[in-house]
Amino acid sequence: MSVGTGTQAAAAPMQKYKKRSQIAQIWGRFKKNKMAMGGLILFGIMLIVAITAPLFIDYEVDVIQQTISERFQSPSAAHWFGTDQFGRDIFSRVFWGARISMFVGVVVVVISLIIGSILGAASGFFGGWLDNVIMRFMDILLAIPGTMLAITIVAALGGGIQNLLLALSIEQIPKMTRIVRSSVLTLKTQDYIEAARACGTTNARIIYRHILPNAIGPILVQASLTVARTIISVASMSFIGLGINPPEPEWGAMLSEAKAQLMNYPYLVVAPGLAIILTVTSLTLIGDGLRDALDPKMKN
Amino acid sequence: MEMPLIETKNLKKYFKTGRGTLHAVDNVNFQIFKGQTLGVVGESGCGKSTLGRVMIRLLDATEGQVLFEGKNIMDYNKYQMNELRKEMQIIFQDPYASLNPRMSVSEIIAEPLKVCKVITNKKELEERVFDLMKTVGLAERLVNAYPHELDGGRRQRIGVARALALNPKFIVCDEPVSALDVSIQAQILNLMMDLQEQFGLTYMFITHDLSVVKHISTEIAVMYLGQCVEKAPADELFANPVHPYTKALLSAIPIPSLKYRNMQNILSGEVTSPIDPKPGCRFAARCPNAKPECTGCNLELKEISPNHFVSCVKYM
Repeated sequence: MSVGTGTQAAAAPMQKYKKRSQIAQIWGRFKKNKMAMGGLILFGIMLIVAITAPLFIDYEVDVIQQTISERFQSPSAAHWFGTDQFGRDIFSRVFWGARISMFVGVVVVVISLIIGSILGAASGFFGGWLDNVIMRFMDILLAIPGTMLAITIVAALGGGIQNLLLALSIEQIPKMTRIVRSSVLTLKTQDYIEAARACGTTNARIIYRHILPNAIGPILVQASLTVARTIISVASMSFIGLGINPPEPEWGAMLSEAKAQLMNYPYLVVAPGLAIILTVTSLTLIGDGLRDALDPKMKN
Repeated sequence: MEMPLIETKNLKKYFKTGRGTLHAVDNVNFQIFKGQTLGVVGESGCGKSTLGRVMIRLLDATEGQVLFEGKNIMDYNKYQMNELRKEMQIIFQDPYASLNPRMSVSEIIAEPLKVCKVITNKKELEERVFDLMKTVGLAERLVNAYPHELDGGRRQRIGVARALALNPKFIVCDEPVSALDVSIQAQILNLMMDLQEQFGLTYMFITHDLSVVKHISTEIAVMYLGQCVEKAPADELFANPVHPYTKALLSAIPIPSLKYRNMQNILSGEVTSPIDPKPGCRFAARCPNAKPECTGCNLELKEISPNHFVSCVKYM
């Protein structure tokens, strides 16, 4: 084809051609993945429950009030999941527990995502001594087993939700930093980055226009898996008594309380256990679905 | 005499590596006049691409000068450089890696215009994008397509449109057709030659494919391990190669004939390491006519006939 083949009008209006956003395409691919959609629906229900719990559950009456006359009731119409050793309704407690787990999970991801992205992007993009300083520090954090680190921080600073958030974020930041750094490292040598430099694009614009949109895939996948991992961490910390303080209905804490009665009243562990499994599984499925859907080279 | 559009003077680019200094570009001198094409040929790793990147200052030179319209751009500060970037652009080898997979065709072509703030009006920007797409022969309906949905030839047209967006005077073409299949290669080459005529562009055309370079170049420079070993007008170089490396390269062009099969002058031996090379002819280790005096001497490009330069002991 040679120059000036077009005999049409000089510039057709842009509106003539439908603009297809990449988000719509990603959603189209995600929708086709049945497992991922199952995970998304399940997680959506959990999230709605967590947000709307105060509308139909009274914290003072249903969740923490002890009614000794009603202890250890098996699941029934009045108490769907039964009652625990203090006569509290397990259904209400599990649903209220979703609020705590989701809250901690989301806050930890947001904190580690922001700090991890900044550190990882700076480290990968600028390299040199900055990269060395940041990554050696992250290596130190990574060298300590995550749970150990969290236990140490909570033991030093005391329990409670704030210190738990801090401890779990510190555990997740190095992992997020590494993921972001490695994506940035592979992306920054791409020819399109050089093409951007060839017309004088600033570093800031290169990062937010060229690098971040392409790095978002692995970051989002990591984020969804981090929520899952954090929910398990919260449960484990509470299980060993270093997480959420009773009488707050945290799933791990509920399991911990139930373990003494496990031989006599096994139904006590079913509801909180299932809640943890379902939430974590749904998030993992979402993460896997996102990984596939976010690759722009995947065919629709 | 007319001033060349772009000129290099003793251009050097060294990289520090763990094992020593890598001489990627070593003492390269040439001039390119407006509207002409300099073909740069050589095997992989001889510094062709590095040279192209130093020319438009994507990389800073270790030593030497690049004169654009008579001014040394190596001394330019950031702001002067940003102004100058509108004048010199680059087209890349791999049209799959050179386009951002998250941006649509129109976004990719409009990006340089936005970055350089040449056109700020949205409607004008749109018109310019359609204009450029038409210039490079891309159908209007592809305006919102994403690179992965297009074939190699169309992708490379996007690359060309992006390079043209700022109306540059000089374009470095870094093996723009070697990743494409042969029928598409011809299309893109013809497009580039048409554009050169239409806009008076000056090209530096980097390639390892001699049949391509003959097609498009006015002058050809042959590079070996960071140095220019022979430089001559295209026809002269093909008719009358002097340097043994050029001869070997030319004889490696496949000839579609059974008779001439055995006439190939095949080089033996490995490429000498570009890390801390010894003085003397860098090709000596593989040269069929190597003599003891080839090592240790100081070689320079010498004019053996008008505009035909060669760097070989035989002609010193």
